[in-house]
Amino acid sequence: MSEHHKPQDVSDDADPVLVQGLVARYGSQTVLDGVDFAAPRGLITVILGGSGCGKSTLLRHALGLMEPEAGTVRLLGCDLFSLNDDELRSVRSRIGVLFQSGALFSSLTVGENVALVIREQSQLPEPVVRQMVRMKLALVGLENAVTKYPEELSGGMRKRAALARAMAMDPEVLMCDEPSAGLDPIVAAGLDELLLDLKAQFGMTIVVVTHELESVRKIADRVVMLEAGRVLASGTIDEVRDSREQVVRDFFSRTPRAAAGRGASLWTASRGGAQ
Amino acid sequence: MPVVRFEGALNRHTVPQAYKTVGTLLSGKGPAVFDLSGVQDFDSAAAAFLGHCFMRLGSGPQGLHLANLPSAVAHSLEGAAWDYRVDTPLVVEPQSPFVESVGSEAAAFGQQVYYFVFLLSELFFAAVIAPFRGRLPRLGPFLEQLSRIGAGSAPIVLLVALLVGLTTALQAAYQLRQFGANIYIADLVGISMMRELGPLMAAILVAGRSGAAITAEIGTMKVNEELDALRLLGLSPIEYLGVPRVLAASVTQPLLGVAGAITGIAGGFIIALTVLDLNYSAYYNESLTAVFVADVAYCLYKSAVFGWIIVVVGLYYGFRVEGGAEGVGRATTNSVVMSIFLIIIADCAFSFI
Repeated sequence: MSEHHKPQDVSDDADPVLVQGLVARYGSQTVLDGVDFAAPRGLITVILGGSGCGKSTLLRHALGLMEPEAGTVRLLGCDLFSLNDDELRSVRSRIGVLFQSGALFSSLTVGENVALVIREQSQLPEPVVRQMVRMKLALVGLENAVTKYPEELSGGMRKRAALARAMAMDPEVLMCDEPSAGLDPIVAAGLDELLLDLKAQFGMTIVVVTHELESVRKIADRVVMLEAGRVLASGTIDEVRDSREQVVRDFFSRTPRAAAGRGASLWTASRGGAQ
Repeated sequence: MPVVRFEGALNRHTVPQAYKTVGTLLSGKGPAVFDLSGVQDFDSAAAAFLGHCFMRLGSGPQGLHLANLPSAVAHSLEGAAWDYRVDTPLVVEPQSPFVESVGSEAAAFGQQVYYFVFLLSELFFAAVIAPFRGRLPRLGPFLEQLSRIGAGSAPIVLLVALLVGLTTALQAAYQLRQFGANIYIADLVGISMMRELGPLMAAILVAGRSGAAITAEIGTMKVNEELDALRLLGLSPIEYLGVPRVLAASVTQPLLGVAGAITGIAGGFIIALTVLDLNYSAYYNESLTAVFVADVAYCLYKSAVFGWIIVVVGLYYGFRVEGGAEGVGRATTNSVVMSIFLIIIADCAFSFI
C-alpha cells in the first residue's frame, strides 16, 4: 500500500469515532443541532433516544454517507469530509456496519454475501475465502445456513448473517443501527451477547444505535442520550440515568408524557373529543 | 518432516503469498510442521488460511502440526467453532433429474396459464360485468391512470411518430422519384402510418414506458405486502389496481395510435413540401383519398387491443413477482419483452384478417 493511500492516524489513543459540533438539516428542519460524541476504543457506546431524535441521522453522518451542514467527523483519526475517494474507501474498509434492515443482498446466498466483502477487500485465494466465510458464519451460529438465500431466513438469522458480513474483514469499528429492531426479546438478547463477545474477543470498538433500554443496560459501557437533535447527557449508564434533565429521567423510568411527546397529547385530545 | 517457518505479519495482505508458497512446498499430503514463533500480526484471514491447510494436510500425527503458537494466534484458533476439515461451496445449484425437471416445468407452465386465465376473467368481470350490477369503477384512480398512461406518453409517441413519418417519406421518395410518382408518397405515408406504423410505434413506446411501470409498481407493492393489506381491507387488488389501468388504456391507446398516425402523416407532408417540392393541395387531396374512415377505425381498434395487451401483461408479471428487488427487476424485463412480442404477434394476426 502506498503512502498516499495510508490513512494518517493521528495516534492510537485517539477515539476511533469522534464527532464534533455536527449540524444536519433536512430542508428547513434541523435534525442535529451541534452534536458532540466520541466512541472510546474497545468499548461499546450506545446512542440512545426516542424515535425521530436524530440517532440514525447521526450514524449516517458518522459513516460519511451524508455530509453535514457544519461540524467534523473523525473516523479512525481521519477527517471524513476532507478525504479523497481512495482514502475514504480505505477508511471504510476498516469499519463494519450492521444496517437496520440487515441489507443483505437478496440475489446472493448468505455465504456469498460474506464472501463478497472478503473478495472486494483482499486478494485471498478462493479456498481460504470459503474457510473464512464459514468461520465468520460459525461465529454468529449460522454455519449451516451458508447456502441459504436471505429470504429463506428468519428475521433474527438475517440480522446475524448481516453481522457476520459486517465483521468479515475484522473491522476496528462496528456500527449497528437498531440491531434488535423487529426481533423477539430472546433473539435480541442473543444478539447483545454476540456484541459483548466481539468486544471481549477482538477488542472491537462498537457503536450501537437503539431505543431498547433492556439491551442498553446489558451492553453499554457509555451512553449518549439524544433528544431533538441535541446531546442531553453522556457518560456511563448510571451517570446518564441520574442526569438532572427531566426528559432523560422520564426516558429511563418510561414515563409516557415526555417520551411519547405528541402521541400522548393526541391521545388525550381524541379522548376529549369523544366525550 | 518438512518444517515451514513463518515470520512477521500473517494477515490478509500476506496470506495470498503464503498460500502460493505453501502450495508449492507441500504439494502432497503427509506430516508437516508450521513454526509460527515469528508471527506478530494475525487476523482472521490467517486463521482461515491455517484452517485451509489443516483441511488439505489433515490433523493428527500424519497431518499438520502447529509449533510455537503465539498466545494471540492460539486464542484466535481456539475460538474457531467452524469445521475447517471440510471445504463446502457457498452456492448449491438445485439439481433435479430430467423427468422431474420436465414435470416441474410443465406444472409451472400450467400454473402460469391458470393464473393468466384467472386474471383475465377477474378483469373482465370487474371492468365489464360489475358496472351493470351497480359497482362502478373508481373515478379517481381512473383519471390518474388516464394522465399517466396517456398524457404522459403523448410527447414521446408524437415525436417518434413524426420522425417515422419524415423517414418513411424520404425513403419512399428515392424509389418513387425514378418513376415520377412522387405524389403517391401521400398514399404510402398515409396508409402505412394509419394502418401500421402509428399504432405499432405508440404501442411499443407505451409498453416500454407504462407497461414496465405497471409491473414495477405492482411488484413492489407485492414485495412490501401492500397487496395483502388491500385484500384485508376487502379490496380485490385486481379490481382496485387493474381495472383503472385497463379502462384508462382502452381510452388512451386508440387516441395515441391515431394521434401518432396523424403526426406521422404531417411528417410526410413536411418532407413533401420542403424536400420534394410537391404541390400543397395535390398532396392534401391525395392523402384524403388514400386514407379511408375504415383505416382510422382499424387503427382505433387495433390500438385498443395493443393497449389491453400492455396492461394485462404488465399486471400479470406484477402480480406474480417473487423474491424481492431482484424479482421485481426480472419481472419488469419479462413484462416489456413479452408485451412487445405479443403486440407484434397481434399485429401479424390483424394483417391476415
